[in-house]
Amino acid sequence: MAELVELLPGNEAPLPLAPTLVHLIATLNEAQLDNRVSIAPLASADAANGASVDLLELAQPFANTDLRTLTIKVRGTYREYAGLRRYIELIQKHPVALTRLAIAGNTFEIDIQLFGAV
Amino acid sequence: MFGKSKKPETGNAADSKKAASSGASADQGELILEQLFMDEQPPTKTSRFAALAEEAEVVEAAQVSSAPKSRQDPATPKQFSGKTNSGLLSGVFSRKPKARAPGPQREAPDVAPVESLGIATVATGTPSADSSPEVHAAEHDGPPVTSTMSEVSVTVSKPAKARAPKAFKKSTSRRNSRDIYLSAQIAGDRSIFWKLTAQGIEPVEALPAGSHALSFSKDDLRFEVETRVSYSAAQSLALQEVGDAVYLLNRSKDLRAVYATLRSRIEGLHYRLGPGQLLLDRLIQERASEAEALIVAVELKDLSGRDALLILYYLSATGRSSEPQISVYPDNREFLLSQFAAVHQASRENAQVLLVDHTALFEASTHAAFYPNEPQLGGIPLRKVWSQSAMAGVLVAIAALGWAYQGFTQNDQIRRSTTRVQSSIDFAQKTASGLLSSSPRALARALTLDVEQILARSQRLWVPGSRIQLTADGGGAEYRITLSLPHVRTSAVTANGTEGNTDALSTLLHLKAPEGCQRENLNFSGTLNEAQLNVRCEAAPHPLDHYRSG
Repeated sequence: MAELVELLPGNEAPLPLAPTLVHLIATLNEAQLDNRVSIAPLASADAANGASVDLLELAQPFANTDLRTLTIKVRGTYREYAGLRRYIELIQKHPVALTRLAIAGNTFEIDIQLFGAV
Repeated sequence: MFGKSKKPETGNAADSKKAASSGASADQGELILEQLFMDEQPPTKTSRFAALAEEAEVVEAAQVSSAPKSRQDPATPKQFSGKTNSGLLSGVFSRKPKARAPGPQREAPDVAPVESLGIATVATGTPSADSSPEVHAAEHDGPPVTSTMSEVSVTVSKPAKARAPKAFKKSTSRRNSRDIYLSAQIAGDRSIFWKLTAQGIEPVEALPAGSHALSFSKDDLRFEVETRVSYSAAQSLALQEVGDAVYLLNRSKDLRAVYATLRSRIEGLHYRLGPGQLLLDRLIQERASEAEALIVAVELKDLSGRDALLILYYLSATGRSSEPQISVYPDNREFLLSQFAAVHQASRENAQVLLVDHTALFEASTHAAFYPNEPQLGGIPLRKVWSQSAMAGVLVAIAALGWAYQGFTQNDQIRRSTTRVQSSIDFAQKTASGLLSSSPRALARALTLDVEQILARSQRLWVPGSRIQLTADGGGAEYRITLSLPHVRTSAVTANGTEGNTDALSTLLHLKAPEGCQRENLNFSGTLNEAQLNVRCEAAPHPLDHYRSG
């Protein structure tokens, strides 16, 4: 509990999930060209298919809190290593958690976990 | 059971002879002496009575004028011994008959007539003013008894220190406050009652309700046993002998006797009865344990000092007791005693006499026991069995209640402890949930991989000409460095790039893993055109790991 208190201040303003998701998607798409990366269509980790669903159903409850969480898988390629690093830094500026990173050759995969209230 | 007492002839024989020639009938006197002591036989065993006799001081000799039943050697006077200073007298004929106050004659109707038994059980004399002889004694309607002890050999024993009988402890402190009465059956079912005091006995008309009385009656049965027997065995013995329901006192442990009386005798009484012979057995055990055949004479005086009651028992060498002979206000104790001894002569070999006075009986009455007057189970009154069973049940119930209460208390404590722990857990969860809800950005930062470190390690592990494949998640990062080797031929080596890849391969071979990481051995492809090195870097445990997806 003490470690949790150190990590979490507990006084942050509520974070709406939908705007966070929208801004993230925008960043992921818009930063491709400048950083010479190319990403495949985004997908949610929990989405069964490409059918349209409510964000409330797409996001999962998080640890008995009023927060919900959503994980986005980003797959793409990069031209230069430096471009990939800048691309990742842009992602990290959002209030999201980069929970998985895989780089093989010039391809990359990134799992991004979002938290917020719906 | 008792040791024989063979008294050696002493100088008292001369006194006896002298007394015998002083007027009384020698035959009569010798008869009594003969019946009581077998002086003609040489001493074979020295009893405590003989020892007492040796220490005794002969005061005078006597001859008894009672009618003899048999005669042996009239020229051999006998010596008697007695102890007169303790209230408990051993020996016979130790004193001259006392002068009786004038009064109506009394008799003990249960005693056989003199003509048939040759025993005079008549008591004559006038009762004192404070006694009530008319209530307790029957008129003597038999022929006047003329047998008297004219000259009595009186032997006053000195205090025998070493041989002195063990005296009863003064138990006045232990003595119950209740009065002890005597119930003597004199004729048929008629009984007379006396109150036993330290000063003597006092006649009473009837026993008070709830009082305790010592019974001297032929209805008091006594069975001698060899060893200690159980209550049920004693009950079986009494039932076998009597053939009717009895109340019994099992004193086989200490007195080797079982005392019983018919239930029909006890039921309906408003007072408690106890066997008087039990006390006499105690006295015999204390004072005359070495004697064999024994005559027990209970001589009780009333408050005026007059002989009021004489109870005689004969105890055979085998321990069997006779029925009591009871004389009220006896006129001539010695005569009665001699007659009683004569009756039992056939069954005895060498009888001694144990005299018990009211003082000894009064002191011994602290040890009196009384017949139960209610149904019993194994010697325990059924009422007590029920009450004690009920008490035991109550105790068991209390114990069970206590045990249940203890269990309930412990269970309650456990339940409360569990509740407290659960509350603590709930509080912690609630706190954690509150923290998580109110810290979405910090939560995201905490769960984000350390990309800088992961990429930095990747740069350190990169070898020129190689390519790196990495996979990182919350558990750690794994790097695979692959180095392409030139096509190797066994017969010749191509010149292009051979040297450079050789350096890269050497570097890869000696590459050190970053801190916190472990490298594996260098692997090669089957065609030897690639070298591969795997490095694994474990992530440190994070408190929020279980919140991380994937």
